[in-house]
Amino acid sequence: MSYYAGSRLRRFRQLKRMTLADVSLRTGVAIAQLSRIENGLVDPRISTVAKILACYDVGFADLEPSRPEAVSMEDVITGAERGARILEESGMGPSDAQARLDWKESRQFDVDAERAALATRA
Amino acid sequence: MRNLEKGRHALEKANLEIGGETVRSLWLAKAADYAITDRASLVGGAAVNLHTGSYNPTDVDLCARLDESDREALVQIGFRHFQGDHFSYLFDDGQEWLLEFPDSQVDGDVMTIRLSPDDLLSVIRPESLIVDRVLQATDRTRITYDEALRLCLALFDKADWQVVSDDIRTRDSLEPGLRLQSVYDRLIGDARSRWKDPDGA
Repeated sequence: MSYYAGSRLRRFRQLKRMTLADVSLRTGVAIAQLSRIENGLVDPRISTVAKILACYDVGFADLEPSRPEAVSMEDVITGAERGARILEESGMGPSDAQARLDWKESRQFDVDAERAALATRA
Repeated sequence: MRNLEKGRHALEKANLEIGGETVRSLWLAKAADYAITDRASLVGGAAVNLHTGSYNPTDVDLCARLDESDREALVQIGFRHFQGDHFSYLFDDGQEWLLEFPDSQVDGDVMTIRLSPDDLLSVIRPESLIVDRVLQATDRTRITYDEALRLCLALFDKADWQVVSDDIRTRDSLEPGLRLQSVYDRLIGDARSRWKDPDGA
């Protein structure tokens, strides 16, 4: 099963506010197997997927919904510029990369490489 | 699917992007995606930057499963491997960018960005990215809270908040100790009070 289909199954489960244990109880599929299915790590039998889908009151067609068109690069750039404008107008300003690295370091992360890389930016 | 030639070509595209960090990060991610066999999805700060335009990411985080042949392929197209699943790339203009593979799977949904007619890149969806940043903000520090608030503000009139709310509620019920719902409620309140429509509506 593709990761995309697996992530759709996870989304359906979340929308039903069910845990893996809930689904396991209702379908008879082991929790570990459900987790592997949601992560796209196994190819389950169609009958297994059908049981899981029934649990969420959805069908096979819902696994591959009509995906929206891919977002264009132009739209991404426009969105990023608009986001920066929103932050400026709301008084938030840009993110402080040095402060973020300080925070990561305080969490015992090794940030030497990130600091060195950041220093190469203008 | 691995294609080293396309990977090198994507790096050339990234090299041509001088001063355009958003586009550069996308081509760098696509180059890595071409080098490995699994599909890579962009997450983390570089993904945040696509919406806020002012995150200044220090690295590019990708979710994908890596094996030794993938690590070798990344080096073959020009990345430097310095530890585990951490790589770097030195651009012609002197900028060094870090590339990291923090997880094999995206915790959430993905969307697709079309970099060119032939180059598609998987990126974490805005709603899942918001949840990720709210999760980070449960550490109750100013820095993570402000980062989450920036993203909420930048996407205030664009995100599907019902999807975000559903996800938060579910996770909160599974891990009540994080007090995710309370952090989220505070963030939304702050975002609402600060929000100014950039289009003047």
